[in-house]
Amino acid sequence: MQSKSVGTPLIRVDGRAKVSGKAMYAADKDLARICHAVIVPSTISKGTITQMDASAAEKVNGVLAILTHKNAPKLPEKPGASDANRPSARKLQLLQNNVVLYANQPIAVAVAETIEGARDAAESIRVQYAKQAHAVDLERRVIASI
Amino acid sequence: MTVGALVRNSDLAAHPLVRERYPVLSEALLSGATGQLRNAATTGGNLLQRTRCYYFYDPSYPECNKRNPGSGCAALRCVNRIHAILGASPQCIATNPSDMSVALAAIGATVQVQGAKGSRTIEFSNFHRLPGDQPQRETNLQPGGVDRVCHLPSQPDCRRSSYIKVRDRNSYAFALVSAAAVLVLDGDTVRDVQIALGGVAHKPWRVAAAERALIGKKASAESWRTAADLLVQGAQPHQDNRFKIELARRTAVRALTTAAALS
Repeated sequence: MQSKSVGTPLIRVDGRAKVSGKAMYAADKDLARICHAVIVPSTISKGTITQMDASAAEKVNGVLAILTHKNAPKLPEKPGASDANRPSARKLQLLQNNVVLYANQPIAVAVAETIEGARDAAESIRVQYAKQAHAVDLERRVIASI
Repeated sequence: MTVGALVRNSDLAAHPLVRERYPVLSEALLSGATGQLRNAATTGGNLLQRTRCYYFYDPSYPECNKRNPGSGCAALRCVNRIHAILGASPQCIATNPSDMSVALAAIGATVQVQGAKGSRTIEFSNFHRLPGDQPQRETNLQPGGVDRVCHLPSQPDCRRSSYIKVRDRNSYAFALVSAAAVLVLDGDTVRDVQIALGGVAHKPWRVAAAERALIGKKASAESWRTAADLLVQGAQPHQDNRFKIELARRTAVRALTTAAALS
């Protein structure tokens, strides 16, 4: 059955704006009183955070907050057993505990009045970990867990 | 010609006087980044851009003397394909990724900087530093200093100049090795030459002996190869970047050949 749209060229509504550099992205908007956040990623792939020192970060000019698992708001609990583990049922679980599950997992967020302040604060946070062995082979991992 | 620090890379590359008098600069700028980045990038910013060494960026590698003085250099024991073969130190083997700087080095530009104590002029070859035992210091700007303008000299005549950039992809990639050549010919005799290599060191790499060796020589492949050998003299390869030595030689020869062939 021939389709009128599938496989036919279609002009994107946003195409011209994007290729000509005219498209406005969220970051291009100049809003009053906007603040900036920089995420601190874990530098291990699996383990626990044993210590986090944000004292230098808190002193950076213009810093508004340093969010960690110690002070982040509690997110809704994980889905109950009856919900199985459907991707659509999973709730975002960041900054809720000291467990690191994957490389570059967000473990803190530095919020400041300027992007530079947020970046400097994020970079000055000192983290210590108890590192565990991590897996890099998905198939072997799944088979091993059956 | 004087170029302000806030001039956009795309504007500088497109300027008719730059294209006419310093084509190597225009070619170098256009070979870098993407159109969108060139529209946003400035002369001042490009001069100060930092290395793209993976271990400098990734904090999961704690060893980086540039990021954390005294912690070591992960690149020395890890994949170091894009790293330096010249002018490096046991503390740091990172390279400078700027194309514009290689062209400015070959042109012999000077940089006027402003600091707390006033203004001064720095020869381009002294603007960027070699890593030595302080790889965290990348330029000779003092803390609080800012680069204000770049002066492009009227001598030597840079109209016969070329930039050759060799990389894994044809576009949107940093140089593995690049070469900027400025040639002044008298018939087919070399009257003056300035040549800089990129992608091989912590700063654009010029060797006075290589340039001196060409003065008065015939513009020929043999002459270019002699100069190229002198340019890479003392090269120290690492596990994954040995190819850069021969590549640098050939890229230098190609840049000189291309410059010589310009009408």
